Amino acid sequence: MAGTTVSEQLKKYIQSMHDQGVLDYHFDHVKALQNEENPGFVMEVISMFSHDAEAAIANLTTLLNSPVVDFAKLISFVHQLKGSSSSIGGERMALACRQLRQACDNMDKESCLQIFERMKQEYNALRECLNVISQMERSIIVAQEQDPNVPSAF
Amino acid sequence: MVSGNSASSSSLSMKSDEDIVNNNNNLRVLVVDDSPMIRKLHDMYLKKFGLKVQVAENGKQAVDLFHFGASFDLILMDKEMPIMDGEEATKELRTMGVTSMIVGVTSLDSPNEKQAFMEAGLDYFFTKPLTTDNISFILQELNKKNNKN
Repeated sequence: MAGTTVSEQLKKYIQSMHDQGVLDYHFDHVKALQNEENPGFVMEVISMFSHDAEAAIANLTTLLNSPVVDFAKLISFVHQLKGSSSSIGGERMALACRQLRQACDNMDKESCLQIFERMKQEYNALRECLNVISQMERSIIVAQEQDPNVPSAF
Repeated sequence: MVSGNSASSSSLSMKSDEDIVNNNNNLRVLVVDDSPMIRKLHDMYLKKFGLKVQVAENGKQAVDLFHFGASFDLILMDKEMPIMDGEEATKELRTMGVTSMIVGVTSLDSPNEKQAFMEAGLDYFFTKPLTTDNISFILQELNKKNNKN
């Protein structure tokens, strides 16, 4: 059945993301919250995360491009990104955020810029991973709507 | 990361999911966080335990709820929020005489910042993200506290 195949593919994909360090166990906790009453929960959280992360990164870009960097504001956005990335299980991105926070605490603009680039790379990797997961989740939901006998992903 | 009065996750006892939900049906929780994603996650975690959940977007909204007569058994308080942060809101609530259990939930790294937040009046402090084990612990402590009163 198509849905079963996608469910198995999803499990394998999530495991491979764990193996690569892109995701940690917090993502599994998020996934475990999904149930029959909220079959689109994971997709919804992923969407919220992406929206918040894009906004925070845009703000960080503006702040870091300023001639005089407001480190207090930087810290506020970095803190926000760290919280959301760790909550969704974005292990490597959360680590990059912690390192960026340290550079902000040291008021070291050069370090901030370097680490920010790395953090954006980690975000791009995480976003790609989460997009794949979202697509698979959507496929499973569609398959279940067409055939209620298809097993769910949760 | 758990900090607080006699915090110990080793005191967890095993209960069935149904027992846990039934025991928590009357407990009201306020989730205070400026992130819609975090509010959504905590809301789902808590509802899984059978809790009634209300959310606030910042410390001022939380304080206003109490000013207008609301009451909660448990408050999950983020630290960094606009308008009024968690530390200030916690101090304000304690000054008002609020005796609800207040648990700080934040991604702070600095020990000094964590200590300052605890000293504002928290009962416990957890590093984000909250997990189901954290919630189990909090609810055990909350039930112990309610049984004493």
